Parts: sequence; structure tokens; C-alpha cells
Amino acid sequence: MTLSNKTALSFLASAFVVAALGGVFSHYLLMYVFDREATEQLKAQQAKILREIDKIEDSEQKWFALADSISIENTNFLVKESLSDTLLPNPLETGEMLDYRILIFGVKTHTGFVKVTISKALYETEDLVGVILLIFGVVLLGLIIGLLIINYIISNRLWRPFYQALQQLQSFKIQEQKPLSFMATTTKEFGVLQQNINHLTHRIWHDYNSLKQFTENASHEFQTPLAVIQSNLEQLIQSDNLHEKQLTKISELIESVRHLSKLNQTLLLLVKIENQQFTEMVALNLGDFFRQKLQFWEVWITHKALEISILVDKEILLNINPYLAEVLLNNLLGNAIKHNIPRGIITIKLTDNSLIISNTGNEPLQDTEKLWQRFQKGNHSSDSHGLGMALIQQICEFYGFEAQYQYSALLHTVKIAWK
Amino acid sequence: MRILIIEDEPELAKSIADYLLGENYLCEFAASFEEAFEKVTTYEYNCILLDLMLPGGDGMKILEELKKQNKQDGVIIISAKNALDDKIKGLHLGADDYLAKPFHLSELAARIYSVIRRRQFANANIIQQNELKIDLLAKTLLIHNTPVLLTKKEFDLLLFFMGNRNRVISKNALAEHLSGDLADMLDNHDFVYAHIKNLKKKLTEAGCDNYLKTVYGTGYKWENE
Repeated sequence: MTLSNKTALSFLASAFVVAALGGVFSHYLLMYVFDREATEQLKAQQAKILREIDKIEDSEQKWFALADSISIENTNFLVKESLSDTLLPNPLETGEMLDYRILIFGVKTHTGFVKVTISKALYETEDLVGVILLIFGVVLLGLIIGLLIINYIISNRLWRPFYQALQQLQSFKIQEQKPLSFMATTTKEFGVLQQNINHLTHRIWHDYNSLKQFTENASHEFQTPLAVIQSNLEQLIQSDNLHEKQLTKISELIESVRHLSKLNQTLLLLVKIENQQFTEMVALNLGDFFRQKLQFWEVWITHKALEISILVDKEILLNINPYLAEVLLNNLLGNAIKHNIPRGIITIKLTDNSLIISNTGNEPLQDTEKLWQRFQKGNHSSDSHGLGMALIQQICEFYGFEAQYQYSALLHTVKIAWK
Repeated sequence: MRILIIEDEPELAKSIADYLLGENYLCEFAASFEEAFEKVTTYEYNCILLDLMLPGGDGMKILEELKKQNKQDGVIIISAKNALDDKIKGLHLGADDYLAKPFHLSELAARIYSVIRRRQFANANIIQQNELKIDLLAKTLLIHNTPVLLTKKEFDLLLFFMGNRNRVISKNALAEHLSGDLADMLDNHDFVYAHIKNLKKKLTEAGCDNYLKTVYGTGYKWENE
């Protein structure tokens, strides 16, 4: 819900509450006023009758009786005064009953006791209340509509710098380090907001750059001592006076240094992918790319006497960074070859929206869910650094691909789906 | 052969020089940008090993200067930054090769050997050692003047040994040479062994002396007295 909708809605809600309360209150107030008014009118008539009744001649009593609202009866005693509401038939419309207020009182005249009844229809009051409430409602409605329109116009104009800043934030990319441009504003809060966003983005860029710098420097700082160790070890095995046992130990050290270095490089690669440092993208024809890269693996495939087949349903173009595509493919194929059995099979299937690589192999030693975690090894071969599957997953996550692993019927299958 | 090692880590520079000593290479050192810049612009080298991150400046500038002066020195970049951008930029600026640290000394020696061979076009196409004759252009091997059919990988291995004569090469270095970046993914000792065995067999069958020796527990060595 947008900001202006939200304010309009809360505005409407409060207007309804006020209207409802006001309506009820004014209804009762009006009712009370009219009610009192009706009684007062009766009382006024009573006062008039009391004043005039003694002067009236007997023959003229009929005049009183003719009046619809006043009736006079002779009684033997003084009637006690009473005020009551009652329903009487409507003289204009048969069958309909109307509210009447009736004042009954007794008078002692020179001829004796008289009971006077004055009645007054209340329907006029109710109609009046209805009309007044209607006017009240219409005015209120007009006011609400007017305010809503004004609110809409004002918020559109007033909040424009805010929405523009939002838009700028939405299009913000950490890799593209071009400063955000905001529209000029005289509103103090928006000025502060823009200033803070500017400050924040510069801060983010600065941190991002220094992190990038750090990753690269860390690589440099690690690799140089490793290079020194390795070259010295290799220099050492050139000596003529070493025993076989010593040579074996040194070889093991060389292997470990290589392992460490590869580990460092792979972790760096993971960090670089996380930092989104591979933004360059090309539309890659996956089928061609696979056939081309398979040449590098040919010696390994023949070495293990594997049978490999590529099924391409359709030539597809995938937007991907070529280096990451290569890392992805090398890890997938590397796994398919490494965990294969001699004379095994590898099938690469490329469909419109997925890549499926399956290979024959022994049953996995551990829970297949854990395979995606870092430093999880499917088997305990010393060459493996346990980051291959993590790399595959990292790249898939980066591009929003879905990676799945499955083992069934002696077949390991990795499926990568895009779109 | 004059080689300039531009490297700020003295230990590394020294072990590179020690390794190359046997192959009648004359190594010189430069440990800073200024020193390297001066040497490069003043003298000629058959091969320059260039570290990119130097105290005092960026190694790329040296490469640019070489290109500007139209110098013919061979250049191999040895960098700890295994960054793709640097590699592309370096090769674009005229470097012959790019080797990420840490590298195997045997790999470096083989690359230097190859760069120098490529730069000296005269008499560089044929490598001869006793009964062995390798034609680099035609990529053929003659033993006692009879052609021996080698696979691409076997020929590659042979050249690697040529660039590292009389030195022990670790199995790991061979594996990485044979399969590059892919080496760490696979069980490579078995793979190296299979290729060496095939190469050895072909050489012996063609009547070649046994130059290729196994160094137990370590690797292999091509002996050439």
C-alpha cells in the first residue's frame, strides 16, 4: 500500500468514526431538543387554556371541542395532571399509527370540574431530525472527498523527492559506482534523507572496494610465502645426497603446499562470487561451450576409459560470465570423472531450461544433503579439497539457478535448472 | 642466456636463480620498480620474469615501456594475483606467458625454455640430444633418424623434460603441467604414471637410451650428461 493510500485510508477511517459518533450525538441532542420543545408547546397551550377557560361561555365550549388537538370533558373531580406518549391512528392515512404526546389536566371552572386533553403529533420532529442528519451527512461526505483530493495532490507534490530517492535506491548497484542524483528539495527532512543516502552509498562503496582490495591482497600475501616454501622444497629435491625416505617426505610437503594454495584460491573465488565481482555476462551457447571444453578432459576420459555422450535438445543461449561457466563446468565434469568407475558412463543432457549431468559411480558414503556444504568430501581422496560442490552451488545461487543432486540406481545425477 | 628476475621477495628470486643455474642461464635481479625499469631500458634480456606487485610501482608499466621501446625481450609474468583481468591485460601488452604464484620451478623453467626458443627463430626449431631430434615446428620426434609417433600429451611431456634436464621434477608438477587447472580435481598420480610409462616405452622401443629416470618417492628426472 502506498504512503498516500495509507494516509487517505486512516483519514477516511477517522472521518467515519467522527461522523458516526457525531451523527449519534446530534441525533440524540436534536431529539432531546425537539422533545422538550413539544412538551413546552403543550405547556404553553395549557397556560393559555387555564387563562382563558373561565371567560368562555358554555355555548362556546364546542369551539374547543372542534379543535382536533384539544378536547374538554366535564368531570366530577379535579383530574391530576399527566404527560404521556401514545400511538394514535394517522388522520390522513388510515392504518398508519403516529406518535402523539398527550397532556391531560383538570381545571376547576365556575361551572365545575373540567378535564382538558391536549395532543400533539410528534412526526414532524422525527422528519426534521432526519432531514438535519441528511444535510449533516452530505456536508461531511463532501468535506471528506474534498480533503482526499487535496491530500492526494499535496502528497504527490510534497512527497515527490521521497519517491525519487526511493527509485534511485532501487536502481542502486554496488558494482556500478556512479553517484546517485537526487532532485532539489526545500523540505528539510528529505534533504537530510538524501544527504544520508549519499553518505551511506559512499560508505558502502568504500567498504566494498576495501574488501575487494583486501581479498586480493590476502591472496597475494598468502601466495608469496607459499611460493617461497614451494620453490625451496623443489630446490631441495635437486640435492644428490638425500635418502629416499627424505625425498618422500619433501614430496609430501610439496603436495601439501599445492593443496593449501589451491584451497586459498578456491576460497578466494567463493568470496569473489559472493562479492559479485563477476558481472560481465555473455550469451553463451552451452552446447558449443561443452563440446569445446570437453577437449581438455579428453585425456582423462580416455585414461579412465569412460563413455561420454552429450544430448542437446535445443541449442540454447545462456547469459553467464564465461569464467564462471568454465568453473561450473569443470567442477561438474571433474566430479563426474573423479567419482566414476573405470569404463563408466557420463551423460550430459541439455534441455531448454536445465543441464543434467549423470555418471555411474559407487554409492555416496554420506548424507547427500551435506554434499553442498563446504569441506564435505564424497570420498577421502587426497586430491579433493571438498569445495567443488560448494562452488557449484555458489555459482548457481549467484545466477538464481536451482541445483539438485540425486543418487539412484548406481547413477549420480546433478541437475541445474534455470529460468 | 640473460635472464632478469624482477621479484621483490629475495628468497623466491634466489631459488629461481638457483634452479636455472644449471642450464647456462645468467640471472640478474631487480627487487624494486625503479631498479627493474632502469635495467629493462638499459640492457637486453632473453627473458624477463616480471612480478606485477612491486615496491615503487605497477609491473604493468614496465611491460608498457618495453612495448613502447619496441624491445624484443621475452616476458613471463609471475604474479600472486591470479586475476583474469591482469592475465588478459598482460598478454595483450605483449607478455609471452602468465604464471600464477605459487608455481613449480620446473614449470617456470619449461616456460622460459619455450619463450627463449620462440624468440630466437634461428636454429631454434630443432632440439638435438644424441640420437634424439625434436622438430618443434613440425612437432615430430626422430630417434636414430626414424620418426616416432607420439601423442600430443607425450610430446608435451618430452618438451617439459627438455626444459628441465638433469633436474628432479615432482609428480605434482608433471600432473599440473599435463592438466593445468584441472589437476587438483582428479587422482593425478596414476594419470602421470600412465603417460610417463607410455612415453618411456615408445622411446625404448625406438632404440633410445634410458634418459628418463624415476626418482623414488618424488618424481622423474631426464638425465643428459
